[in-house]
Amino acid sequence: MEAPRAETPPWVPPERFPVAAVDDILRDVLGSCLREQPYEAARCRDVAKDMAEVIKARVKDLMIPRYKIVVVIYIGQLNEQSMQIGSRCLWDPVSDTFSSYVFKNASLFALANVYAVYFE
Amino acid sequence: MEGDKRRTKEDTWKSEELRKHLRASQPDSQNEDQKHREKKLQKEKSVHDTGTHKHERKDRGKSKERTRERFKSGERDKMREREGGKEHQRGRDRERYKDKLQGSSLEKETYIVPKAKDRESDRERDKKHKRHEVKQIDTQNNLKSFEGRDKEHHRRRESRHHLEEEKTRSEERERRHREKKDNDTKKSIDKFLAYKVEEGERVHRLQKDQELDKEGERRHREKQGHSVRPGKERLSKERSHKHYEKEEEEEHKSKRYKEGSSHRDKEQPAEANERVKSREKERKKHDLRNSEHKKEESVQEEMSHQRVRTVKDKGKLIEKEERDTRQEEMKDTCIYNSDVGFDNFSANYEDDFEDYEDDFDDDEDKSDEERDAEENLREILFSRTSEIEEIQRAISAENDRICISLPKKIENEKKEPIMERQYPSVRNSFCGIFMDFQMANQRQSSRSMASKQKKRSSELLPLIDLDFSVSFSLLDLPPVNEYDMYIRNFGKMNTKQAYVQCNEDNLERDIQTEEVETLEKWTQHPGESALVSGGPINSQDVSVNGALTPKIDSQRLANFLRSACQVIAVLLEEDQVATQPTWKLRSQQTGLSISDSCFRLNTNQPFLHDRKISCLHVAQVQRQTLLSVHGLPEKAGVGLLSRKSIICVWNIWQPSSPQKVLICDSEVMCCCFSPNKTTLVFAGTIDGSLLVWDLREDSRMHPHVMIGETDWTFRVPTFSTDGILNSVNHTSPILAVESVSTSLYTDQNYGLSSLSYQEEMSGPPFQIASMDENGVLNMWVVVELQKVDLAGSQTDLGLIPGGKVKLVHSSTMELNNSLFTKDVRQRMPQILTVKFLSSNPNHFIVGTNIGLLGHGTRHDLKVLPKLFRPQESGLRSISINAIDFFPFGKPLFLVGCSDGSIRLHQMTSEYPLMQWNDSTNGQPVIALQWALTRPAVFFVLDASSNIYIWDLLENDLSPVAKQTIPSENVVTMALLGEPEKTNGLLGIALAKGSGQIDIQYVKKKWALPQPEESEKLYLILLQSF
Repeated sequence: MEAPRAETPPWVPPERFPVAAVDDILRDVLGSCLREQPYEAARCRDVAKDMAEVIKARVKDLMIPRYKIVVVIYIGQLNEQSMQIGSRCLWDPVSDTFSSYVFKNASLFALANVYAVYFE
Repeated sequence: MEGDKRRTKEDTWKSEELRKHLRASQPDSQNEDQKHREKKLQKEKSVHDTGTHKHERKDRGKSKERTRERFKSGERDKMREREGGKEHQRGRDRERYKDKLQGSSLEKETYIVPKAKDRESDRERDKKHKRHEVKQIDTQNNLKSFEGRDKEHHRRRESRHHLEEEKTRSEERERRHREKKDNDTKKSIDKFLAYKVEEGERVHRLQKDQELDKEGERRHREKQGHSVRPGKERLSKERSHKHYEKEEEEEHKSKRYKEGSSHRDKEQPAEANERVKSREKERKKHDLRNSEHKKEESVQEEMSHQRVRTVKDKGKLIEKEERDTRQEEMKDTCIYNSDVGFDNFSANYEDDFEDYEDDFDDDEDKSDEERDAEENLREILFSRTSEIEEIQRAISAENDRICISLPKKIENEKKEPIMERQYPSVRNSFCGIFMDFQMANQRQSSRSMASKQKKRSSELLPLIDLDFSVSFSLLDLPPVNEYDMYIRNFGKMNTKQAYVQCNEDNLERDIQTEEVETLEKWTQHPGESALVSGGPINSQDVSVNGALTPKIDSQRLANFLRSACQVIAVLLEEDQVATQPTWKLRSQQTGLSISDSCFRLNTNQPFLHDRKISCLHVAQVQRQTLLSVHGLPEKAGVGLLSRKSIICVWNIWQPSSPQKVLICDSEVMCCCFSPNKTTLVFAGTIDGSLLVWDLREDSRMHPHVMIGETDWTFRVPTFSTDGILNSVNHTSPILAVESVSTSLYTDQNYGLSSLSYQEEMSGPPFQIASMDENGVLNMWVVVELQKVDLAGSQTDLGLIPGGKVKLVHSSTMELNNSLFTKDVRQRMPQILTVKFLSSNPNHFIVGTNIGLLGHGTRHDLKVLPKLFRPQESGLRSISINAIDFFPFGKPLFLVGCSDGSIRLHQMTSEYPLMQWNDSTNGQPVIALQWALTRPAVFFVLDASSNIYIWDLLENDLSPVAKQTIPSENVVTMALLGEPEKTNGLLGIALAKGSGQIDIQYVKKKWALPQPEESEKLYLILLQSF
């Protein structure tokens, strides 16, 4: 199927990390897993792990070569509280990127971040 | 320090951020400044009022100075200037003050001062200015030319200056900046003035928003004040730059003043009463500066003396000395710089270092009081030092003369830079008299230090280049109710915020009592280790005995035994076959014409009776491993297995019995292995549930049944999607289960697999695709749990207690809608099979009951062709019964249809490369598969139990061999063989209706690969176009 790729230096990603596609994945996974989910601490702990696995698998399915993927999911209760989540990375902005999506239902919020770090 | 940081970060910080930061840091220092300013003024007033008292203190200060002078020559200059030239100084101060107000005439003034160091610092200041504000220098030069005139009109100008004072704020800022490094009394005067002016400045800063407007205004005012000064002098850039410097400077100053003033407060408690008055006076002063000008002048004079004293009190002298020496060093470097034309880069670094010194000054202030004590001692030696002072005064007077004469010669502004360059050398010659070698050493060492730091910073700076540009909050949950808003805005005063977090009952307790000593005893039989029967009496024995007992890695031992058992079992079985040629399982049925040899898997197990085989599956990696699916028994019996369907895991090297027996409640429609290791078995059932068996599980987790003499373990599913109660589950029979692994692809291309997955037992992650009759394709992620919960999971209801593998739903595709266009959909196609392309598992092909194949991808990419059609046009109800991808790389696949036609497609075209219609005499093809060892050969099974062998190299129109399996109905077929080995072993596993599984090894001519077979095949395929 795949034509042999032209030789590119290893520090140049042959293809960019498809942030939009990953955003779709995040939206899909979070939506399908959490739409009906009330907030229960124990349950959400497991769901977060499962979703991270699913997201990882599906991002890997995109078969973006040489990208290392880190998936971080936060689930928290919506309880009239204010919250800010930040993130800081040390990376090469040329090749590395991330995708983020926030999901909310009646009782909880979920934040999924996918960091894609190019492996030279 | 702060200012320093700011400067280094200037490169990376956004201007807005910086501004914000600065704004935040301003109010404090300004308040301080204001306070100090006021205090200062009070003090000055008081000093003025109580003249005698002041004089006394002055004297004391002088004596202190003298004692100090002994120690440092640089200091001596300073002191001499302060003391001996007091009368002169007054006049000079006045002059200097005035000139400073003009903001640019520093140099000439300082030439009069009989102090080389002052000149130095001034020049350096100017140089610094030049570095930062090249334009300003020009204006300064302009101003310098006017200086002579200025001097003549001292009085006049002075009076005017006070009027202009407020207007020339920025000017003064600039001056202050220049005087940052100024160490003598001038500095204090300047500071005083600066503070006065700062009041206006503070207002200005408070109105930051209108900063630009104001600055423009100010500029205008400046022009009014000094018509000589060009308006363009101040570029906004310069201003901003100055701004930073000024601020840090102010911070330092304010700190110093604080300390100093507090110190003075202690000294002069009597003055406290007058403070209120003086404050009022000060205010008046601002208003009526013209009238009070004279008075203020005197105040300034006195203040200058007072400054000397206060500075001394603070013990600043030492730091000043240090700074002097350092400035000399810097001067040297500056000279270089000026010669080369003011190398900006190095200059900036020097600035940084100077800032550092300022920072240290603050620290040094703290030890002031200690120094005061020392000064008392030094007073005793005053008389001796006075003699030295006399001599030095004479020397400095000489210096003065030279210095005064020099600047007068140069009035041309263009000559100014040259003049500046000359001074250092002149100054150095004088300076040499006062210098000793210790200072030289010091200078050298500090210079090396500076260069080291410079190098370090230049190395570090590119590394610390963090990008702050991309910053936004990933999640910002706003507070929900008004109360929260209220608390956030106003609640900081007298309220206390109690925070409530979830999981608050998760408290940690700590016990301080010592732990109870325990000793292990063993009272059970059979015993473990050396603890049997009560064990040793005390713990020491335990340790001794414990050391003696060998450590057994039971896990490793078990692993070893398991693999060793398998090998031995295989060997035993081979041995058995060899010794018993008439083994009942062997060749009851003679070999077929197409095969060399055959054998039969022993399906004659009690629990497999009366069960039909519905499906065979051969593992992709360990090709000797075979799955056989046995349906429900025909006559329902009793017992554990009567209503269960069974999957047997066979190792064809051990045909005597299945390796493992898996059971489940509903009928299994399809099954597959995990792609990388044969540790997981997946099956889809008629109920729509997807089942997983983890073959690594301990057999004790599963029910045992003694049948005959053998203890059989019937493994129940590790995980079932029945427990997933939401809508993602299948609601109709699952027709196909496929494992989808993307790792193969990446491995081939990039060879990164060795980096990861080593610790995982099941290899790289993969997904399972399951498709049901409704055309719903579900993707499941196989998740291995890190922790086993023997009590069972509360959340994963489908997971067996102690199970380690579960499926998590990943995505769903409605294949009918996504793959087929409207006109195709009108035919109500039903999807029967699905196959994922092995080289690129994002692509898959589905077979329908209308003779079409759909081509889809998992990420909804548009692919061409969307459909694969038979050669004849029109849609007929032909079921696609079998699809098999070409295992040797090319994207080809074979399709077997219910009308007996066989099609050879390539992925890139809609119509088949080849199509054979009547090879089976119209019998439906129920299975077809490429030979695993030869690219050009494939095997076809039709519904009337005929096996056809096609060899496309030999004949591309009809099969080269046909073998009818006598007597029995062959249900399905699977090929066994290892493509990587060239031993020519290619087996066909044939599942019969009676429940038997025969394995035929086909003849070598169809099994042994021929040279360059692939190329020949491709040629043939090309010709067929």
